[in-house]
Amino acid sequence: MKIKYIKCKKFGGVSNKIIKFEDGLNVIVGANEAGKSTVIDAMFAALFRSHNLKRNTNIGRDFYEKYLPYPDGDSAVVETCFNINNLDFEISKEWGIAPSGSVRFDGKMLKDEGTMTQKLQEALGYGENTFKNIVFARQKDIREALEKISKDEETSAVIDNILKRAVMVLDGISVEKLKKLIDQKLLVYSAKWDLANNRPEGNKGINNPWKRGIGSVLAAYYQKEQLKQDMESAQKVETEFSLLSEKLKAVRARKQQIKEQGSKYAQFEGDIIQRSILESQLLNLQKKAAVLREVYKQFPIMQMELSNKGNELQKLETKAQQLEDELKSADLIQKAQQTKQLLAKVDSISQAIAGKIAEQNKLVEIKDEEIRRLDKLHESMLSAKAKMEAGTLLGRLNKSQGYLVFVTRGLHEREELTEGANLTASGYLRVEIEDGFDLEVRAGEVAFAELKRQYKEAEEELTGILSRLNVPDLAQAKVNHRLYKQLQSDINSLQKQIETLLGDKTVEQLKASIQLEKNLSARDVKEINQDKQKINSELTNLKAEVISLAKTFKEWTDKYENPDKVIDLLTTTLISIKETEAKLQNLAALPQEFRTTEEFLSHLKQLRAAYEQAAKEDIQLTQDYYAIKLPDVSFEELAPLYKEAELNFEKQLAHLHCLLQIKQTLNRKLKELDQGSNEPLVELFSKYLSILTLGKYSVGKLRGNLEVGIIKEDNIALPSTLFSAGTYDCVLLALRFALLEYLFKDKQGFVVLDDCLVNLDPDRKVRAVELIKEYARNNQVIFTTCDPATADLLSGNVIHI
Amino acid sequence: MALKILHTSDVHIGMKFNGYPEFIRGELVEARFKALANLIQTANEKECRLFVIAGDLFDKTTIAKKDAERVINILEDFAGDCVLVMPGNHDYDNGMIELWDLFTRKLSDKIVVLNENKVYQLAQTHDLDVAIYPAPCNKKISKANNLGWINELHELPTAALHIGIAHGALEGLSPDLKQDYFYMQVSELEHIPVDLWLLGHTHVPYPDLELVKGHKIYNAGTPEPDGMDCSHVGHAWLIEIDEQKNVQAQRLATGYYRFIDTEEIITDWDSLDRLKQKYLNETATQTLLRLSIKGRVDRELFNQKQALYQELEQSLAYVLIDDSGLGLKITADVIDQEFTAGSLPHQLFMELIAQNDEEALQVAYELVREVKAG
Repeated sequence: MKIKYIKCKKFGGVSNKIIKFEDGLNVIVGANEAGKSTVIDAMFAALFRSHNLKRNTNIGRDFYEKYLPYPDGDSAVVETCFNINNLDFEISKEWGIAPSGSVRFDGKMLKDEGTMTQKLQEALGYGENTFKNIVFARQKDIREALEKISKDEETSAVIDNILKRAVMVLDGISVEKLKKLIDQKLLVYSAKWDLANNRPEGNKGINNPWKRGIGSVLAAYYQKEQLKQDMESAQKVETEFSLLSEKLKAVRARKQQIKEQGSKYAQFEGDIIQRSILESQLLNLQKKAAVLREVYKQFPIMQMELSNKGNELQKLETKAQQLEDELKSADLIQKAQQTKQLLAKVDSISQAIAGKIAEQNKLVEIKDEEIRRLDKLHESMLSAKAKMEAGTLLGRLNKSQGYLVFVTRGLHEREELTEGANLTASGYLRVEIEDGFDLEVRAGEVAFAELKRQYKEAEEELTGILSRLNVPDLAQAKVNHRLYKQLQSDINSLQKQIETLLGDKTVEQLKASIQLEKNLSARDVKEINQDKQKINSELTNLKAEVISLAKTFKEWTDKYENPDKVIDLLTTTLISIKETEAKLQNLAALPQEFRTTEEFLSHLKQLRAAYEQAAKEDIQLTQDYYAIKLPDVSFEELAPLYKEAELNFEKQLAHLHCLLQIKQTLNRKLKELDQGSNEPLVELFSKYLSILTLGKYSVGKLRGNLEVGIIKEDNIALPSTLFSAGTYDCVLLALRFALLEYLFKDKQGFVVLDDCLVNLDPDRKVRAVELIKEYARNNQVIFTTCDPATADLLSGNVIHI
Repeated sequence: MALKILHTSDVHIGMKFNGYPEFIRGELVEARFKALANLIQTANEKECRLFVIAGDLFDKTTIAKKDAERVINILEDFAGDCVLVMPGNHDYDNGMIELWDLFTRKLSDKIVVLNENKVYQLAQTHDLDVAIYPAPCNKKISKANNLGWINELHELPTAALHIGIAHGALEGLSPDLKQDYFYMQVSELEHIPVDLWLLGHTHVPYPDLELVKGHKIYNAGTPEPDGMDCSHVGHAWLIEIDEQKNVQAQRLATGYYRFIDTEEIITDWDSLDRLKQKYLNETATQTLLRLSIKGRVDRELFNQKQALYQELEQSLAYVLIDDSGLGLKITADVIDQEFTAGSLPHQLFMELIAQNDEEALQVAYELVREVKAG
């Protein structure tokens, strides 16, 4: 791209000025206030300022104030032509009272502002700010930006970073400030809000809210939740109130209904009570009359009946007495028969006793001590025998050779022993062979002779006693002893039976008594008793009847004296009945719905109780009704507020998510920028830096190729104070050209430089001029200066203004 | 008999307007008293004999005593024969409301509170041969309307004119989706053999006509708009019935304030000018505007928004603006123009444009501008 000319017909203080530019270096020379800057501004305005620029905007205000011809110009007019890829774009713009604009290119002309702007943007490739910050930038603005970057040592140590940062902040936006602002805003929105769970931090809801440091999302959330609670609470109270009102209304209606019904009945209450009394009286009178009628009728009948019943009673009593006598006779007869039976029984027992005695007499009486003695002797014999038999001797006569062999074994008698016979002897054995051999053998531990003596003595005494008692052995002695005793016991028992049967009487007495009852006669006791029971029952009934009749009769007599008096009384009662009935006629009738006055009065009582109950409920409910405090703001009023709060909360949350997204995008972009290759820009910068320093400095690898820095010929890194060392403007130029080439790449670029050499010493100025010339070799440079010497130094197309 | 009636309802005296700032809140509260006074004045000018308030004269049952007394004084100025005041669902009468106790205690004979389910024979009290059949509210919400007792009448008592007065949502007119507000069907009303039905509850008038002839059912609507959901100018009916019972009604515009809740889209300077013309007019001082501004505009125009808001605030009674939908027209071209190619903002915006997240783009743009402004 290159500018071919600029025509300032009227623009600020410049009018009717045409400046033509050539390829390569163009130098505009002019004194201060000659209009150099205005021409450059006109060029920028032709490219980027809308001819319809509003006056009431900041840019508009500045523009018109600065560029409408002073003092009375009402319009500014500029024409320019630039060439891109051999195509000319002629731009004409007029601002002010009759704004207009056009772009001509390739035989076409555009006048619509939107189309014009679009076409120009398309042709220029970059927007207004890119041109403003790089192509038209003032040297001092770039210096300021770079100074800011160089203050960050970490960044400035590495040229790569510097270049990146330079690109980043070309629009005057500090990355750190932007990040900080986003973080600040995030905090404003998200403080105490748990983003991950989309709820308050620590899940502290409206009932336990955070008090301090609340972000706007949480504030909106709390506001929404508070309103929700208020709504729920209002609805609850309103519903409660409504229900209570309904209840109260129902109670009052019930109360009113009861009252009305009660009042209706209450007006009859006096009459009904009176009616109740009179009706009761009437009933009594009617009963009394009935009684009197009956008494009058029954009086003589009863008198007669009472007499008859008395006679009947006498007869029955006589009959009863006869039966009683008969019963006594029957009793005596029965007793005599019993005595007879008793005597027979006594007789029978006496015979049994005689039998027992006869049986006893057949036995010798054995006394208890005799039995004990026999037992003792028997035991003594057994003991002696047992001891003697303790030493048992066994033998066999193997050979006798014809001799007679006799043996005496234990207590046995002497006996002959044959050849081959076996023998057993207890404690003692005596063997005798004819008269020539006599052998006694004893068991050593047994005093056989003594024992045998004991045995024999006991045996003798036992035999003597048994003989005396006329029994063969001890067992029989014991049997006879028990039998004798048994007979004796039976005799005793039978004698006791006789004693019991006779009691204190003797048999003779009993026999005499039987004789006395012989002349008596009577029916069976049972039969007599049956008759007696019947007569007694009749007698009891008759007596009761007579008593009752007598009692009633006495009462009547006491009460009425006689039937005449009864009839007088009846007449009086009947008159009273008529009077009472007349009174009842004058009283209010009992309402049809009641059967009795009691029922009426009971119902009225119930109504009064029900009214009292309803009145109590009314009081209680009324108290409750007035105790309810309706909310100041109703549910209905809160509903839209809640809706708004809900929307606000969503809005705040959406804003927060926007901020988060922006932060993420920004970080990603920064990372991409950090990681992205910056090599072409570095190379360009290196090229221009080398020119600037006559090859003394270039860009090279540092610290093991980890960083790119500016190094000297001897490979020593330029200190970080590079930009404060005086070569600042030169380095700036190198950077700017690098950026220009980087942006426009293969296209022809152009740049407007204000007097960037003014502060350089001659040496650096020469180097800077070389740099500009180098850039101008392939691009267009428009250089403005007030110094003719600088113009001379730069040479190129010098334009005097 | 010929009769002129001024029919109103839903005056909502005592409405607090909590959602509005202090400076306008008092005015809005006061406007409702003025609306009632104006209605009385109009009724007097039109020589009405009957002034009917078909419910919700008050906004709630807890009204300050002085306000109730002030209302009585206003009503007492009616020059006609009788003012009929019926409790609505906001100022319902359940028999224990102090407001109605006070109201009935202080009233002259001219004003009748229709709080009972009974026929009010005005011939007996006000020299008007009219029988009134009210359906007052005794609670705030009710699925059932209170027409039942009228339906149960075997025959109407003798009167030259029979007028039913009811308060509740009318079928097709009210957005009472749950039918919670004494809902009434048109057929139900038509079935009852009265000559006229005067209704209240819904804040818009019915029928939606300026002049009506031969119609039986009327809903007054509120005479003074009461919120952003009430976009009309406030109405009441002037109803005239001739000897032959021909009914003719004229809808009166009665409100002072006008609530406008709207959305405007600004795209360019012309649309901004149109917006100004629309709202900055002779009724501006009576206008309460809730404006949602949307659109994407260029920077110059965007910068004008504060000036616009200021102008609206100075001219209108009240303005609440939501401009969250208004943003800069941020396109790739705009970014190219405003930011240097390759710079961080340029890259950030281009990325957000690629993400097609309009809101994030707006927010990011404002952030970058804030940083730039220092």
